[in-house]
Amino acid sequence: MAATTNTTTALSSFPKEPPLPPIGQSHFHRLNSLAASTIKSTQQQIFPALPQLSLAPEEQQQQQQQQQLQLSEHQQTSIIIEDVGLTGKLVNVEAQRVMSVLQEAQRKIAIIGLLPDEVDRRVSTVFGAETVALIGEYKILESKYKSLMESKAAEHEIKETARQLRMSTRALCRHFLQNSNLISKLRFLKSTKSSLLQTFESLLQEVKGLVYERLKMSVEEEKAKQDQLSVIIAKEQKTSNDVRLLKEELEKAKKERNFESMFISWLVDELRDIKQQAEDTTKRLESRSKQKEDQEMLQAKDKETSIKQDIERCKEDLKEMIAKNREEEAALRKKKFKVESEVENWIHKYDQDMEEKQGELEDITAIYNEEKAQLDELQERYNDLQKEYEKIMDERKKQQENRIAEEKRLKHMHQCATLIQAIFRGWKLRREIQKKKAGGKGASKKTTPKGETPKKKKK
Amino acid sequence: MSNLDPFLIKKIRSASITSSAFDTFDQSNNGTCDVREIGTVLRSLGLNPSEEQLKYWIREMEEEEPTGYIQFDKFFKVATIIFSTNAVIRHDEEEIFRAFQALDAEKKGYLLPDDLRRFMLTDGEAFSQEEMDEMLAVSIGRITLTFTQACTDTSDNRIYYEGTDFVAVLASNE
Repeated sequence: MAATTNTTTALSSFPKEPPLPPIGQSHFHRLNSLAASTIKSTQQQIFPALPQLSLAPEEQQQQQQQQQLQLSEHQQTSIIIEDVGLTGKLVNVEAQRVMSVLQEAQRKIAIIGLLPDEVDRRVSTVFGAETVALIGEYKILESKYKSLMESKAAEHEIKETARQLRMSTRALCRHFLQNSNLISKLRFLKSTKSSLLQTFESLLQEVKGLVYERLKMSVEEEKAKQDQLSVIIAKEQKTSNDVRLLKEELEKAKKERNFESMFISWLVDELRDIKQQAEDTTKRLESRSKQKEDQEMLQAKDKETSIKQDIERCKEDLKEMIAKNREEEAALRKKKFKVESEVENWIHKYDQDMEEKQGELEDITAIYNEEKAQLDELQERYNDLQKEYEKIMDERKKQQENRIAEEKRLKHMHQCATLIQAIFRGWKLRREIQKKKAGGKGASKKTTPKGETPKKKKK
Repeated sequence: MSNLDPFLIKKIRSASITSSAFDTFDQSNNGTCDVREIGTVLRSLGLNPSEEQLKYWIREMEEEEPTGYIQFDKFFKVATIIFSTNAVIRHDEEEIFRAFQALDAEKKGYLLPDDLRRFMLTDGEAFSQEEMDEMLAVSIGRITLTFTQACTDTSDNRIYYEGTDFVAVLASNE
């Protein structure tokens, strides 16, 4: 925002300086254009209803030149412009001409300003028919232009009307300037000037002064000035730029600061809130804890009393139990004593018994030993007998075996004898048969094997 | 009797011998023989049966009702059995030697005649007096053996059964 305002101020300050046309352009032309532009701007501002002044530059120029020539001829008639001497001071011919053109324009404006508001009988009586007609035509065209401008008619129509108006105006001005007596008559008819016209005229005068100032200076001076100016402008631009940048920076810094301050304030708020909250919480906690503590205190007291009661009761119990146990102990002690004495008695008795038994045992042992000795003796004897018996038994067994062997032998001998006998009987018989065979066939004897008597035969 | 093939020839021969031997004592020639002759027949066939064996065989041969005579076919049947079983067919020298050795308790190799007499007359199927005398005669050479070379030493009156002497005499005959 600051930047834009800055630029606008820079721009707005710029037109205040006179425009700088290119150097190569003719002085005259430059001046003329300058004049025209100034006239135009002022006219547009102040007199929008006077287009006749916005003529084409060349046309205007010619017109003005003509008018200037005429003016130089009729210098005595110039009423408004008193400062004609200004031209004389100018060295340059072209500058003089420019000034004269300006003076001519001033004169013409004065004439236009003096024109009567209406074309009535008084006018017609004062002026000739020709003049009246011109004025009438002008008035008609003017009113028509105004109406067209107001109704915003088509552009070409407006242009056409403007052209007609310009023609009419030119004709009117020429007519009045040719007949200088008519101007006095006009002054006679209209003594008062409209405020608008007065201001316009004063402005024109001012323009004329400025143009004169400019024309008085030489080209070199102008150039130097312009250079200086341009330097100044550049400087100014630079500074303005710097200013803009700095402003931007400032704005930024401000923003940042704002932001920071906001943040700080927010933090402060937060801190305050937190503090508040903490306080609240602390309070709440304190109250709650206090309540709890009270409660617990109460409970503890209750408990304490109950425990104390318990302790009392327990103490009583303990006392009772001690008493009871003492009694029991006493009873047990008595019993123990009794039992001990009994045990002693028993032991005594046992000892006596044992002595008795020991005696008995000794007696028995003696008897046992005696008998043992006897037994040993008998055992010895028995062993001897046993040995003897075994010997006898062995003998008997041997005898038996011998008998069996003998029997076996006898049997074998018997068998052998039988065999020998059988063989001998067979042999004997066969020998006899052989003998018989050998001895021819004698009368065979009837002989039994048993009853046979051995025959002793000799060969 | 197929399992006795080795004796087949012997059997056939014995059969012929048997019949001839039988014939020898078949005095009535009716195919029978006196029971008392059976021992002689069997001995003549080369067998040396003891009296007990002889009694057993005769009981086998006899009819259900003893007649005192033996039929030839019966005799033949038993004789074949006897030969085939090989029971008492022969007694070789070794056997005889052993028998004598058994009698010689002291293993002297000879027997005294008194000892032999005592054995033969008391043990076994005791000899008759005649038999005993004969045997002693053979053994000690009181009589001269016709076809044996009895080597009994007469001088010292001992019966030597060892070697080939007396035992060989007994085993040699057919």
